[in-house]
Amino acid sequence: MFPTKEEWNRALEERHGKEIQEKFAGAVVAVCGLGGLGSNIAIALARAGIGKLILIDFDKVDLTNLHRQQYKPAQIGMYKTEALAENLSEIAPYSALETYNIMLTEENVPELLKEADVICETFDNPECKAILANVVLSDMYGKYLIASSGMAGLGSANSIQTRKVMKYFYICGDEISDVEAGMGLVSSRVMVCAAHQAHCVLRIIANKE
Amino acid sequence: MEQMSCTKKEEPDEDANENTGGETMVKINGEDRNLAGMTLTQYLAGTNYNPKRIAVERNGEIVPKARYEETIFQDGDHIEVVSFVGGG
Repeated sequence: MFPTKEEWNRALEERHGKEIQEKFAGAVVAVCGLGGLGSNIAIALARAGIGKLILIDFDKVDLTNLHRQQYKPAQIGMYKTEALAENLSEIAPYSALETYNIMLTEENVPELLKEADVICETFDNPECKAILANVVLSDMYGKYLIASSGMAGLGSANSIQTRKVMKYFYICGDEISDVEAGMGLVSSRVMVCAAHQAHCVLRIIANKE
Repeated sequence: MEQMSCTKKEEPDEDANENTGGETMVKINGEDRNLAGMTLTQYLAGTNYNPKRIAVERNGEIVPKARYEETIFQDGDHIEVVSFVGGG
């Protein structure tokens, strides 16, 4: 029988303890990009009971995404925002979702992300990564940014790390393995990086960082 | 006859480092460098960093891109250049 919201929340409380669960339930987290990192992060955070997720991506699900992104073959051609919302409704249905089928720019970032306590950067393109980092840390100072850099290939998973650069700025990845340089992205190593990001989010919200 | 002082009192100069040619020790990504009077833009031009793929932290704050050219290194600065690579 499908659990009610109360049953779901009670189960989470039993897992995490009431105090931490209330913090998770009261948090708003933005996931910018819903690809290999973003789709995995969104699922981890929804399962953990984050109160509200802001999910942003302009793109559609493609066959070439399915080797690492949390979508299904039947969803090829769907907008990622819709496909992920559909998947989350089946996996972890009680996080509120705000989705934007839009490309983030310097101009629209402050408005779209203004409610977020923590912002995850999960883009493919390194220039977009840099733009988001600079906008969030200059113009929206006080919001946490968990950025990502370097998770390509079959190198050791042990070299994926979470590094605190400065207050409010964390970066996950090995900071070296560029998707341009050779092998491309592998599901498992991307998941390791996504887990680092999601875990960093939860630690921040639980005041462990 | 008017007494004239022999030495002119110098006004404190905001760009003192630039004018004295003295040492400006800056820690960049953990390395101590002497970067007297250099701007952030000048420093980056001498590196392999792609300015479109970086964020620069100086003494605990992000330097906005628009201010790279006017940011002049001061003695004791702690600088971190974060360089993003592709994939996500």
